[in-house]
Amino acid sequence: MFPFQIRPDEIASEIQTFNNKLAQGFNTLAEIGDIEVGVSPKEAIYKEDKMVLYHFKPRTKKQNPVPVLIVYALVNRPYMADLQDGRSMIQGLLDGGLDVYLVDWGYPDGGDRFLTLNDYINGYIDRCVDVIRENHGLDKINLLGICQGGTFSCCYSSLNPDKIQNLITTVTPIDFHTKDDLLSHLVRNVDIDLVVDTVGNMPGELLNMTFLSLKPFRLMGQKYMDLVNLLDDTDKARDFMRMEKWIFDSPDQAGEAYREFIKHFYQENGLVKGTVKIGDDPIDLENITMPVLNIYAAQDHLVPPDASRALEGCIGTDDYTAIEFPGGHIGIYVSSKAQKMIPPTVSSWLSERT
Amino acid sequence: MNDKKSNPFKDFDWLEAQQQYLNAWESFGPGTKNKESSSSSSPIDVPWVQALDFWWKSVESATPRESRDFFGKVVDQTRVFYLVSNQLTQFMQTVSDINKATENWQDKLAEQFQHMKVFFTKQQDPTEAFKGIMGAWNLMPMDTLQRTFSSASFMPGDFLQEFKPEGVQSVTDKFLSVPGVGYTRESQEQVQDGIKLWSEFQKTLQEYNNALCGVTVNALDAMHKKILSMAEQGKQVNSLREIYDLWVDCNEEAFADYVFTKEYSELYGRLVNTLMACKQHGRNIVDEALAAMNMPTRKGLDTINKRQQELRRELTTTRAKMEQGAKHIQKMDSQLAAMKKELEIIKSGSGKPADKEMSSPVSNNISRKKRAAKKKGVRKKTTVSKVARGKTSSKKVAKKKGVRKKATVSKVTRGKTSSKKVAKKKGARKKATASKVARSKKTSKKVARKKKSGKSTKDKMIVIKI
Repeated sequence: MFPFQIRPDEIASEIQTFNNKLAQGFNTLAEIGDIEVGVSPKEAIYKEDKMVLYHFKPRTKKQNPVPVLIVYALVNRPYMADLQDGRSMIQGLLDGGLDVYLVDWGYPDGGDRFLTLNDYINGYIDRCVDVIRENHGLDKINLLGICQGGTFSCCYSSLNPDKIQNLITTVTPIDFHTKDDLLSHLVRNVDIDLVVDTVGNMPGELLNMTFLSLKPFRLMGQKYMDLVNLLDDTDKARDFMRMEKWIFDSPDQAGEAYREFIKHFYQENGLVKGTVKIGDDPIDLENITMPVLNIYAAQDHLVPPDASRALEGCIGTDDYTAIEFPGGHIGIYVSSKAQKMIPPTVSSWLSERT
Repeated sequence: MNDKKSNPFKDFDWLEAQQQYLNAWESFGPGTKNKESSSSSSPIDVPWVQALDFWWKSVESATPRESRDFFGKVVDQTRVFYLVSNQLTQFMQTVSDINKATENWQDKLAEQFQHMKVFFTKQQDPTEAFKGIMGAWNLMPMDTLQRTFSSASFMPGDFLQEFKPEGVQSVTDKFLSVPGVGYTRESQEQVQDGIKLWSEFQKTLQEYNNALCGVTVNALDAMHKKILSMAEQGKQVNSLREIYDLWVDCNEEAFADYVFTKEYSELYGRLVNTLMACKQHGRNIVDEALAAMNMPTRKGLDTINKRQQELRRELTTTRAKMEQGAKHIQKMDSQLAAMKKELEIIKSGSGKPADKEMSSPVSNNISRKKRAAKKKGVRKKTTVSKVARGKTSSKKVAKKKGVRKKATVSKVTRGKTSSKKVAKKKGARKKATASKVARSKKTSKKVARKKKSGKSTKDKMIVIKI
């Protein structure tokens, strides 16, 4: 039997309802006002160029004596880890008694065109680590990397095992040539030298749209249809807009760093092959001998689980823990499920190793 | 006026707009449908879209600027929703009579899907088809690539937007093969090279768009199959939204199947590379023009930025080294201070106050030895014997000492009580020697322990070196 059993009057009614919601929804959206992001109180304790190191205000009386430095990716903005009250990984970590620092890379412009991965990893990250070590009078601190920031954290930890007590990676690509890695598949035949030599810094808008185009109908179409059904609830509409703000808040990528990352990591898969160099230092993941917690997302379409799981086979530690989160690349930070699962796990894992 | 506060939707007569599209909807009623338009409708033929566009045009200009793009996205997607729904709704009307017989609907369905494929792909320029029916494709990287790189270049790609190589290909080929001559030979060649590159990009873009059309066709095939399968399983679709979701699922699946192929990876690579080659050529031409006008060029700025970054890197390294040096000096200062203190303790231990003029442990040591050599008093000799351990045998020293001397030595050794006891038992001379030996042993044990523990050992090691 023909599966579409909708009468014309039902169609008219559905369209009318949808349009009413749309109009009412626009009314709601127009009255939402400014969208706040990055809710936890914090203080800038170190600045260099456009990079700012933030220290979050503790939320518990007693803290883990070893602070955690969160290294975010160069793509998009780090407030995703502190999106809103109740949807904040950072808030969860603070509640778990951790002393949290965060690197904010800022918005690179033409003057930052020649920043290399060496400048980011052996420069900015290293100096942030030293600032925290000095502030706390410690030889070692904990490092938590998010996505590309996780890859940077692995590189840093392998170069400076004497400065890192525990390493945590979240949705971090290590093996860039897994079968289901669509991003890697896309850039495999792109002449990245030609791209960077032509455009200089990589426009954030383009990068962002590339991510969205991995699932174009869902991410650029269907979700707006879903939104119409949420718009009668102001809070839900505000939540949606907050995510929307984050998704389209895409800094440009410093040209040289982008060139190195795409060429040596994505195209050559140098991290697992051991051919990556940061400055003059070869990266040997075997040097990662500190305890490692690797968290990845089962439905991650940007960093497939296999790309993250590969870490286990590359590092030299005897203390390795892996956790698979039942969600996607962003859900691991902002979903309500993640709030209950990720920060408490990280806090307790760290307290066991402090 | 604050844009954020204004709300263009508040006082808009939505009901009026609703009435308009409902009136239009009536035209779909049985007997009024124009069958010719069912398969060839363009977005402007669809009354729901007309109503939406009418409404949006009315409110768009009053929309807060910062959220206009976002509202636009929602409207675009709503348009797509209506268009997809429209296609299937028209189809349902077509088969409504047949539906009653429940027999031939499958043929009609196949026919309708064929019409839809034509609709989605028939345009001479496939991008036009995307612009109308598939809002999502409008946001595909290709379009964004062009827009993004256009804004990043002095010579935006759009200036050749209307230059379609397929239309002028034969002419172009001849034109491009003519060698540049005369005074403007060089610039002629540059323009020819530029057009060649642009032509190459346009061909690749055409190929890319055709590939995406293929995805659309595959998606429709998949949707057709799913509908048949639903019919077999007795499943029902009861709303337009379900139809839309089905359409999205099929497109995502078809797209995912294609993008993971080697063919797509190569095509995407070629697309980006040809566009970049074109852009770079344009940039070089602009740079040359700027250089001719004695203006700063992109190339020149790159050189400056590169050198500046190298200098900053050197500066950071130098600064770090300086800081390290300063810390080292500070450490040495504190070690010196500790050494001075230690000497003072040693001196005060001998009963003589520390010489305030002494500036270093070395000079301190030398002058003390000199003084010790000059002065031959019993108590002073005892001090010398302590500093220059091993030089004079403890027995000789003990012989020169009287009872008072022995007492002094025993105080210095700090093992006062035990020394006295020993002295009582073994005689004064032996007592003095034993206590000194004991102290010497204790000191070497302490040094050994500190060497093991690390930190303060370093200080001790430096003292020994000096």
